[in-house]
Amino acid sequence: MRSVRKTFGKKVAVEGIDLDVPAGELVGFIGPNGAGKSTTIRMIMSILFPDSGELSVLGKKSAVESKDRIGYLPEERGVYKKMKVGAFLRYMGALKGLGGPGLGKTADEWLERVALGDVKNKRCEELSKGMQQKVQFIGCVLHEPDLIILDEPFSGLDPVNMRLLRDLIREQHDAGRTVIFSTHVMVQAEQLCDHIVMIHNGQKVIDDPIGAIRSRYAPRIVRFEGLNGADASAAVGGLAEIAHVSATDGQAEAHLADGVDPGRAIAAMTAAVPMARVELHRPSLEDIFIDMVQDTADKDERERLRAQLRQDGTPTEAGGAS
Amino acid sequence: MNVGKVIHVAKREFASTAMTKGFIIGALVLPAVFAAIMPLIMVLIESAAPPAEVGRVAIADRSGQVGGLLAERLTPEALTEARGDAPKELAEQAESGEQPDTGGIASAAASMIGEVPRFQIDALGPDADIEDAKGRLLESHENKADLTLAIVEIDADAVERTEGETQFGGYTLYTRPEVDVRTSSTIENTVERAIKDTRYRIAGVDADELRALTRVRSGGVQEVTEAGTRESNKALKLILPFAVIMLLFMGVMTGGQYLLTTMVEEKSSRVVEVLLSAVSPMELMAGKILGQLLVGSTLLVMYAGVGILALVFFSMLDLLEWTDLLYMMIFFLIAYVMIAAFMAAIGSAVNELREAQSLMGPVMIVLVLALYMSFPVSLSPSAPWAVAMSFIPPVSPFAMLARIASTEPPDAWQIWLSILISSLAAWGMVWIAAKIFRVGLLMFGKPPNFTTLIKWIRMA
Repeated sequence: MRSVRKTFGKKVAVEGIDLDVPAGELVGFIGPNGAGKSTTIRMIMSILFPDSGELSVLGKKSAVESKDRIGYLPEERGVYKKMKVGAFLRYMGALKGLGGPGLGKTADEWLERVALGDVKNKRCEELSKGMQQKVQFIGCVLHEPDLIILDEPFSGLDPVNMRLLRDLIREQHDAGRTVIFSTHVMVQAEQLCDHIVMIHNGQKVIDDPIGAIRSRYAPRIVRFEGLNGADASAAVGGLAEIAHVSATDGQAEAHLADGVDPGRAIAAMTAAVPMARVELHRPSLEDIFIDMVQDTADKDERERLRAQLRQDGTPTEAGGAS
Repeated sequence: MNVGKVIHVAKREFASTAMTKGFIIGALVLPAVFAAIMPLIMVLIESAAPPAEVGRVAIADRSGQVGGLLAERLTPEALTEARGDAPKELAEQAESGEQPDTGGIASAAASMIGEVPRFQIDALGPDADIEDAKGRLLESHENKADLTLAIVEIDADAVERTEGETQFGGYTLYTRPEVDVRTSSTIENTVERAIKDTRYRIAGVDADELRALTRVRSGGVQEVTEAGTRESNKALKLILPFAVIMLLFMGVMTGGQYLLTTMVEEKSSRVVEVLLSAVSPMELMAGKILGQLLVGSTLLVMYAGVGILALVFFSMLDLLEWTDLLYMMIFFLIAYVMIAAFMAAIGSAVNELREAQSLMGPVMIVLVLALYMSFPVSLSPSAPWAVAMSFIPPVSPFAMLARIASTEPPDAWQIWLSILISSLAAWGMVWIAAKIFRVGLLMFGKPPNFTTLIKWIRMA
């Protein structure tokens, strides 16, 4: 994608995004609700068209020419209520250019794999939302696409199915396919991706391999707990290596002073106070994200974002401008 | 556009609409059941002839000249004989062209009337008090044969005019409320004939001679064509355009309505974006329109087929010009595409069927107008306004078809010009609909109004 921009009326949904996704990568699009993830994905899929900028998909000018090589699970997804599950999958396969007697067999095998072997002849409306989602995922990978795009694939799944889906995504990745998925829950991206693209207010704020992000945002916080519950904050705060002490979620956190090596600080802390626990805290994507938008957001805004990035609930009613 | 994908969409569209219980029952079974029930109803009507009515009929003859004859004519034997004449007369009238139908109705009527009633006659005399006599109609008797069913009061001047009057008098029939209408009309007819025959006798006219004099036999209207002379069927010719237009309307509306329903379903169940991952919006729209076209055509072909079979059955197939059928298919296609494009656009723009209603209002008005206007058009197919209407879309397919099926079909160049104009209009509507469709598909939330739709057309 090159300088891709998309507006809906006066609202700018995506503002000049440049993005390259190399073949075979597993990339996570993260960002809060309404950041522009779905709009970006819809433009990649040529369901929406950018106002300006260029993009190419699988070497073609637009995804329209290579739809059969792409598997797409939209955020706004559904099934034909009255259609039987097997028929629905066969229809999706046929639309993707599959055909012949092998199609039904492949669909059945997939249903077995996601523990839905017995629903083939049920109507889609008889399935739970999570089951429907698994059926949709099958519809998305049935034709063995080269590129798989999943928009919020985990929303609405229980932990067991979330793990199942994670394994299936990893398996597709291991088979050499390119996978792009979006989520507003940062933890999911951390668990799965090689590469993270973070979008905020329609702009790309991070585009790096996860290792690089980790090393760039080197840990500068030490979490600690005094032995026998003693309050060690005052003693720690007095050390030269520590800039200040704060508390997040009931955890005491020592923020390292500039240029101080974490190892030296931990040694100084344990020397100063008997500790039950001292731990170098690796920043999560969530922390990094909150940190990144800190300049623009006030405190309430930060808390709201944090809550949103953790929440694993269903996405809000997203309009065309999500 | 990938034709294979369009066909897959069309196939699913057809299967999900026409292969459902609702469709098969509504569109195929119900008409078949009606068709099967019709003969049954005929049988029931025939078997529902009333039982022979038994009882007394009192005659108060103020003229003193009709009573005797009437009493004679009301005996079962006389009634049976008179009834034997009735169908014959009806049949004669039909043959001579006085009545549109053949002897079928007469014999059906005869069987419907049932057995003749068995009356006992009481002559009340010319001065009987009618109020007294009416009391008989309220009496009850153990023996049914003793019940007085009716009283006939014949006016004093029924057969001979009062001095200075130009008109004759008549009669009044009083009956019990429960007396069958067929029985009372038998009495009425008999009284009337008795009065008439008495008047003829008094005037010195031979009744049979008079009937012969007043009956004119006609050879019917014969149309002379190259192929020979044939009986004209003007009445059916008037009905034919209506039937053709109704068929067209039904086929178009059925397909269009289903298209709207499935489109809204795809949107509200959010399956639409899943589909868009495999097909382009245009492939989706084309597939859906094509699929519902098959549904509409299935109905059209089936009902038209039944109609043609009926024509074959009554050996009136020559009423039908085969080129008319071709035109019908062409105009069906055009009218359907216009409506379907509109329905697809509306379906893509709304989230629920309910929201579609307000947008559909104007379309329905135009369609119903087209339907109703076709009737006057078929009656005066060459009137300037009728000619104009047959060139103005979206009314043109209906109006032109009404003209084609009428008794004065237009010239071929007019038909093809109308086809050209209507096709262009249909193409334009598809073009506009495609724009709305592309934008509308992914729009959820507030239902759009016409202003929004126009904005979308500009946007796409």
